[in-house]
Amino acid sequence: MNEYLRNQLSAFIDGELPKHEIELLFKRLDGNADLRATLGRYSLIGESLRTRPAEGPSRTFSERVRVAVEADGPLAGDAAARIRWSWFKPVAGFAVAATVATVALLGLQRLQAPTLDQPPQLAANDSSNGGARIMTGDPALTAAPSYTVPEPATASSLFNAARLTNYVVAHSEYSSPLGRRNVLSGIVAEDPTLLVVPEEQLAAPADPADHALERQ
Amino acid sequence: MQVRVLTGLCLALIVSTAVAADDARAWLERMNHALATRNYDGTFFHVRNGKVDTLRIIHRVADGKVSERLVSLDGSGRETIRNDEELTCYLPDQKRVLVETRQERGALLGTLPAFDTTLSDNYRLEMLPRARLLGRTAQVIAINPKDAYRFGYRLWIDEGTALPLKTQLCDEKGNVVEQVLFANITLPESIPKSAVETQVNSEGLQWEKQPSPKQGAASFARLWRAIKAPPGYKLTATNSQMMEGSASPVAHLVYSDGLASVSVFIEAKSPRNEPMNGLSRVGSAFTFSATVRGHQVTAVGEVPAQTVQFIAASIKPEADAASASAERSR
Repeated sequence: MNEYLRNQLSAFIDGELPKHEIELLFKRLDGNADLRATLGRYSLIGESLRTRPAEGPSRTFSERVRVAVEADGPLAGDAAARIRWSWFKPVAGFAVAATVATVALLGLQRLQAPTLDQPPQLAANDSSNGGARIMTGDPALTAAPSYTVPEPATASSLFNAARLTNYVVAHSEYSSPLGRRNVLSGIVAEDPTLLVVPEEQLAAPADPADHALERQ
Repeated sequence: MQVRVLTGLCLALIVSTAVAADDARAWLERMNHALATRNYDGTFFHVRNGKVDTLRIIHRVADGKVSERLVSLDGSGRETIRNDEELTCYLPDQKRVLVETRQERGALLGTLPAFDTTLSDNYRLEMLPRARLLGRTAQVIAINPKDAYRFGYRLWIDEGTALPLKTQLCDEKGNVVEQVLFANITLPESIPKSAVETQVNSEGLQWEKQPSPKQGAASFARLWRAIKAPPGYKLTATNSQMMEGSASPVAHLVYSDGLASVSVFIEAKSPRNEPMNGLSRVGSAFTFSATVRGHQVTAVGEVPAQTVQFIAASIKPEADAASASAERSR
């Protein structure tokens, strides 16, 4: 495996590969059994670390990953370097962004870290809620192209995040098999993100005359 | 003569399109059956907005009973276990475990959506050329949404096993919203029960199991409905349940177009709970919350944001809905 592939793979593992390169990597995976095997091997490292009894997620997780992947050769070493780098990225790049007290540091990193292909653009703080406005390229939000990450979570926002998660879990039972897999994958992979969308960017209600929302 | 040739060509095109849709439907049925009835153990990547998560899924079928374990491999320790009785979400980083009891027991194999002809009201099925993926031959099927109120799929279905090796969730313009790609997948003859049991040390975690419904809870759900739903969405289920953190029964309405579904949760506002308003995202699902007649209404679904907003904005007490309907019919 050449240096370029190693870099591409480790960027992918670390969630830093631009979208168009992800497609390219998927094509490469098709024709390269070694690459697939390496990717699968690396992926399982996380689980073998996690399943050590009574340890659970901890602040030393990145160190444990580093040790484990270094044992996996040059690819792993490269991936470890990226993990070390990304471990500190939220601290350097997102001092303004929200923190959720009960969320483990890795989860927090997922919530905040920008991706190379769609770097969040920090703009002036929204004084009404103190958050940092972030532009998102999520095509699912075609009617709502921006949102705000709230300032440090309060007990009530944590409670509401928990309620939303409860709702989504209950909803998953009514999803199609593919939809359910996506929904449950999202629950285990991400934390709820509150998207404060400017009212004018939301889709028009079904029938404004009849369905005006009651406001607080 | 030219008219006959043109008519013949048009007929041939219509027939071949219909045949292709039938073929696609047959592939989707095969895939659904395989997803529900086969033993498999795979590692896959879940990619959304350039962010990659690695997960493992173990799906076990034994004596007609299905159990499934979905594990995050990123170190958070999160996992879900799903069986005929309940869905359990272990969130050790949040120090809690959610338990959702299944409303209709023993129906795991019976909850597959039917890819019948009504699907074509809202989606256009398309057979795309076969492709090689992970060293195997895959039939590629596209389920294209006909409007912006639902997502579509592109599926790379393994010709041998009918399992989807790669899945893309797409909006109505064909943009990829998220995708899943298997790095490896095995299909063992049997999977030990221990493989679908949690490895999470639950000591010190708070268990949140939905309490039994209170008397009269069932009727609460019948008091609410959406006076208008996006095209193709119909009310397919209603029930009431007690939920952790809610003092009163929560009405649960489900609207579905046969493939996509949206749940609406309605509960009386409690002074203990901070009201929720607006749009949120929980993984792949969008949620939209509003306050309606002193009740907290939240629509949830793996659908575009505007769909959950549309439905949440349309929820009214049954009496209001009836009068609005009468008003409209005048």
